[in-house]
Amino acid sequence: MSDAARFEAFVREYQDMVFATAVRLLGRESDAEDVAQTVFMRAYERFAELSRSPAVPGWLKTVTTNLCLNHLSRYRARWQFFSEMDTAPDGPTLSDRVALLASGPEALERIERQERLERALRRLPDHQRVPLVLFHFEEMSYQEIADAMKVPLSKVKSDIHRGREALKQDLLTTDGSR
Amino acid sequence: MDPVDLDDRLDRELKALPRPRAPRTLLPRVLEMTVAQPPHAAASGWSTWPLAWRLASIVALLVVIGGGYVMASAPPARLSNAAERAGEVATVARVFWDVMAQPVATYLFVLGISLALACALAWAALEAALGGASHR
Repeated sequence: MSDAARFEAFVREYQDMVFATAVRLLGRESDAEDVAQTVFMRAYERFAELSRSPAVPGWLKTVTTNLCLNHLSRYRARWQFFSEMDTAPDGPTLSDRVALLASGPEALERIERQERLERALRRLPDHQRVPLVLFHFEEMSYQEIADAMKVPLSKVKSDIHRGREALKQDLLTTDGSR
Repeated sequence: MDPVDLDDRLDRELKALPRPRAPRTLLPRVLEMTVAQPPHAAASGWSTWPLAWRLASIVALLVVIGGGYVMASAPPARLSNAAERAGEVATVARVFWDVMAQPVATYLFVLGISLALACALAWAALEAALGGASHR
């Protein structure tokens, strides 16, 4: 297999993982795609080492997280105005929905509930969403999050608490609307 | 609903969230970039070079070290002449520095430092004005 083919297989294998981390941290798909591209270009520059390393997923997640935090601190304030335009996650495709409908209304309801929660997560303000995502999806400790975000530990705790409160409110609203 | 139950439920729901899928455009974008920008050999490090290249580099290094040792222990006449010539050039350069360059060097150094400091301050002010609001 040529190097190009090996790198293509590498991107195919990890693109969902990298993109998922980026889109949940940034809240916008277009930004997440840009960051994911940069992550893979970094990986490409040291592909000879990386392709043999068992620590690839960890390396990719660390680079993605760092680039996202960097991106948020540098660019988000300038583009806040447009941030509401691109927060809706891609849901299942039409064929997925047809398959879900065939498997029962409960499955479809579950998917809709998940989509709603994902949207609520992405709508959270950066300072709540980022620590919450790092805690729940990247399994970082409060202290690691505080170090990565360069904020006090108490702020991380209160922001995660507030973010969770907002998501719980969203869950209750979903229950109430049924 | 009980607050503890709601907490547990949120944890379960977050855990059950499916991983967002990368858009179809990501892979072509990355591959396009890799075609435009092939990786350079230096980025891969000496330990990742092919064995033949590594052996050749070791031999080349030994040749350079051996050559240097031979030159230092018994320098040929041509080398001595070149060393004398280099000494003369160094003397001329030192005289030039003492007479022409040294009097203004301090002012140029202070000017350079001041400009660098002004740039850094301007950059920090821009960062604070444009990028500092994200964590508020």
